[in-house]
Amino acid sequence: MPEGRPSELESLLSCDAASREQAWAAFVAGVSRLLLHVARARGGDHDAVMDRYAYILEQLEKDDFRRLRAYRSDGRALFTTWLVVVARRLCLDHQRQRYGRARNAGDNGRGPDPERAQARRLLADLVVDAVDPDLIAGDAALPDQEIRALELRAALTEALQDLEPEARLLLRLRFDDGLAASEIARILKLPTPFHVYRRINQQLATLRDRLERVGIEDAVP
Amino acid sequence: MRATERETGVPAHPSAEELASYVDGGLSTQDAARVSAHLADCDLCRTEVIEVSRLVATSHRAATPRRWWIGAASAAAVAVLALRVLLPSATAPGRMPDALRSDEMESSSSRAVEVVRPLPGADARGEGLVFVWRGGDGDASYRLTLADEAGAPVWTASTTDTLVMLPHEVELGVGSYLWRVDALFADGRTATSAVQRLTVLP
Repeated sequence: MPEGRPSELESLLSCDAASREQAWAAFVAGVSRLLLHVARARGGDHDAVMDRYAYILEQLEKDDFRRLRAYRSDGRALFTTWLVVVARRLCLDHQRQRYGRARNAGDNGRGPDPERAQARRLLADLVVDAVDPDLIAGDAALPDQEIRALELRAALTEALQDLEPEARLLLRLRFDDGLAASEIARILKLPTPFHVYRRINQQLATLRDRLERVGIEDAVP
Repeated sequence: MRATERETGVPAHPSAEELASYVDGGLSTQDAARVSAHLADCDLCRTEVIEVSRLVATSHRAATPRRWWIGAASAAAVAVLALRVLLPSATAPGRMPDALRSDEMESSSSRAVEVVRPLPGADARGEGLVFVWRGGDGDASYRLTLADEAGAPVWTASTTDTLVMLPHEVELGVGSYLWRVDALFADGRTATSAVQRLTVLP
């Protein structure tokens, strides 16, 4: 990737006081649509979007462009990608200032989610044959079935932790976050969605092996 | 400023620069593995990567050039590429040149972009269509052009990835289409794939 700051950014950060306003206007003109794109992604009506957009610009300009000066032009990331990250984080800051932190902050900010529970059941279904969803959900009526469900969940969690980090990330993106294979391929830099499917199948086979080794082949006691 | 691993003893959340580098594929293998390990166990950071990746992938819809800062040498190469794609030899403005409408399906030795899917002459459903290709050596940005049988562009997409999915809002009618991928490398080189034919079924 080409190194060095973008020319408009370089001009902004090296300009004198007399040309500061003009340089800032030129910089904003170049990035405004990208920043609006990020601001819109947080939802809300037009006023909410413009509030976020204005906040982003205010924070980028603050303290003699302190945040913009933090961009390292070492070629590892495009300036636009870095700006998207910064702008999104500023949107979250703006949201926290106005509405406070999310209630379930202790749960990594993501509280109980029926969809995630369903996704975990899907993972368990794929790994262990003939799994009764009620057992995974813990709604079993009989104590031994409930114990069995707990054992299965614990064994699955342990087996997941034994996987390589990249494999664990792949399964999390697919079953916890519900991403499509094409999107996973883009994030993990895999050539095609088919590479994603193949790796998922490989990891599911690995999980099955590990569960069988600890005596879990199905949900029937 | 986010705490470092050394200060807290737990894996630190990626900085903005590190996360952007991860999304753009610019981290070393070792650093990328470290970040992947963190993402596997951190819902917040994983959510951030997902959302940033989506924003970057859809940023072309915001009509903000992602590489508006391309240096002089690369800018010249972009101009050359634009002329090759847009200048018709004997066709109306906005239509693909005759060379792009050729039925030639074989890649020449000068073409570094190799189409993976859809396969040449493939039949496909129009919705959710995924275009996949292999780029040449080096970092590059790609532009996919999809045209109808008459050569009029139907959809274009720019990406640094090697796959794109046809958006839901682009509806392809039943019939034949032509498509190709043009590459612009960081060192100013350009390359192109052979023109591919695609048939959309009902």
